[in-house]
Amino acid sequence: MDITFEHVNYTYQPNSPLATLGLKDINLKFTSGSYVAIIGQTGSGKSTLLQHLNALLRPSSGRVLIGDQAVMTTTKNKELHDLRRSVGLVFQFPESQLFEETVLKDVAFAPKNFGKSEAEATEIARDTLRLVGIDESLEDKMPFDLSGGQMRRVAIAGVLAMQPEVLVLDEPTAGLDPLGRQQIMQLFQRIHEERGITIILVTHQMDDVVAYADQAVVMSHGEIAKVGTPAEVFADLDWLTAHNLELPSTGRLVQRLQQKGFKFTRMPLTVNELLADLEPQLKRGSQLG
Amino acid sequence: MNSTPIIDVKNVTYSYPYAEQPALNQISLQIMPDQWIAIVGHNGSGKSTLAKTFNGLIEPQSGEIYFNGELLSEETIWDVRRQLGIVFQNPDNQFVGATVADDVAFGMENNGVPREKMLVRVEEALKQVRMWDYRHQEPARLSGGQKQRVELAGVLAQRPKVIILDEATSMLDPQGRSEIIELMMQLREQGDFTIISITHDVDEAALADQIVLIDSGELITQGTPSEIFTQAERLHEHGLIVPLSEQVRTDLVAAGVGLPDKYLDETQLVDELWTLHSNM
Repeated sequence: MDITFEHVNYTYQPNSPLATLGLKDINLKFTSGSYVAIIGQTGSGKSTLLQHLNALLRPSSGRVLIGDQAVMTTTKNKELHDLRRSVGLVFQFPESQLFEETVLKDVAFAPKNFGKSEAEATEIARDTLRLVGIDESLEDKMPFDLSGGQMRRVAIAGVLAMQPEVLVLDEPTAGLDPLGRQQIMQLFQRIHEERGITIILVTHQMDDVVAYADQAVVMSHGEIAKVGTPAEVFADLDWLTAHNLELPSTGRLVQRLQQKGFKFTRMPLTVNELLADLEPQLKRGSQLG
Repeated sequence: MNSTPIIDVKNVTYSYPYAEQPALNQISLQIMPDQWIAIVGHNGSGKSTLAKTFNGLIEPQSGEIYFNGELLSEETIWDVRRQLGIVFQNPDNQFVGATVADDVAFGMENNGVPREKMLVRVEEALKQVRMWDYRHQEPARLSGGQKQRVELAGVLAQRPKVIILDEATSMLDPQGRSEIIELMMQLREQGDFTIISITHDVDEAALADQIVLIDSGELITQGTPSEIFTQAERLHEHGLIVPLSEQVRTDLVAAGVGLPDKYLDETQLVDELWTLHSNM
C-alpha cells in the first residue's frame, strides 16, 4: 500500500490569531514495502507529517492518498476506519498507553475492536507476542509488572496485532539502553523483511537511519528539505550542521579528523567505512620500529 | 580532599512489593565528595532504585546509608533531603509552579527560606541554567531541554551538596541532551558539589570522574572511564556499549596500527592518529 502526499498544507488553529503553519506544500511518496526514515529538529514538522499517515490529522489543503483512500479536509471519520487498521502508529513511549489487566488482553484489544472474535483475537495476540519476544509465562501478568523494555514490546505488539500493512514509528527506542535499542530495531527489521511491512521511522538516532532505512526524508520548518538515501542525505556535513541535524556517531569524529588534515573522499557512515578510509592514511605499527 | 564519603552505601538490599528478584542485592558503594559519578547499567539494572535510597525515597529492607558520615534515619532524613537534589527522567511529571520562577522557588518555600533570600537565589539559579528570560512563562510551553534546565535550577537554588540526575537526559532530543550535558560540565567547574548521573548513555558517562557499573542490583565494577571502557566485553555482557573512540581504537589496534594500549577520548584519539599520519 503506497502513501502519497499531494500538495499537503496543514495549519494549526486556522482562522485564529494563533494560526501556525505545520506543513507546507508536501509532495512525497512512501512506496509499499520501503523503509523510510523521517528526520529533522524538534518542531520541524515530523510529528505533524506522521499524524497525516493514518489521518489522525487531515490536510488543510491538498490530499493524502493512503492506498486507494484519499484523505482531504472534508473526509469523514467513518470513511477512515479501515485505513486506521492498515496503518499502525506506535507513539513515543507507547507503554504509557497500556491499560488492560493482563498482557494478553491488552494485545487482543485491537483485533477485537476491529471485529475479530474473542478466540481469533487471542490467537493473534499470542502470535504477535511471540513475534516481539514476549514469553508465554508473561501473558497473564499485569502489563505494569513488566520491565520497561518488556512493556515497550507489549505496546508494540498491540499495534502489530491489527496486522497493519504500514507501521509508523515515532522514536520507538527513546529511553531504552543500547542493547534494548538494538533489539527493538532488529525486531522491526525482521517484521519488515519477513512480512513485507512498510516502515516509516521518525527518529533522532542517525545511526539507525544509516543501518536500516532505504530512504531518508529531512524536514525543516514544515517543509521537505531533502530526500535521498542515507548516504546521499549524510554526504554533506556542512549542510547537516546548517539544518541543526545530528550526524551519525561517526560524523563528529570524522569532522575532527578532517580538521587535523585527514582526507575523506566520502562521508564514512559506519565504523567499518571509517576504518576502511582511515587505515590507508596511517603508518603501520611495524614501521614504527 | 575530604576523606569522608559523601554517600556510603553499606550492604543495602531492597525488593519491590511482589517482585521475584531484589532490585538491590547486598550492594555496597562509596561516593567521595566533589566528584562526578556516573552510575551506569541497562534498563531495570537497579541504578535508579539505588539513587532513590540515597535520600530515603526508598527505604532499604536491610543495610545502611550514610550521608556525609551521618546515618540516614527518620531523624536525619529531612536534613539530608535539603542537601541532596534530584532531577528525574520525565520533564513533564515534575512541575508544580504556574511560572518558571514559581517552580524554582517551590523547594525553598517548602524549606522555609525567607522570601528576600529566595528571590535572589531564584534569579541566580535561573541565570546559571540560562533560563532567566523565561521566568514568567508557563513551564508547559517549554521544550524538554528547557524544562530539565528549570528543574535543575530548582535543585541548584537549594544549594545542595549532591545533585542527582536520574536519567535526566534520556527523554530529551539531541539538542536538549547536549544543553544539559554542557550545564553539568559547567557546574563541575563552578561548584563544590557532587554530581551523580544515573545513565545508560556512554557519552555522558565518559565525562565522569568515576563510573559505577550496576546489574541485577549488584555492583559489578567501579573505576575511571579509562578503566571501565577498556572492558568492552564486560560492558556488552551487561547491556552497554563502549564509546565510539574506544571501538575505533581497538579495531585499529587489531588491524596492526600502533595506538596506545589504553582508553582514549575522541580528542586524544585524533591527536594520536595524527602522529601516525602517513603523509601520503
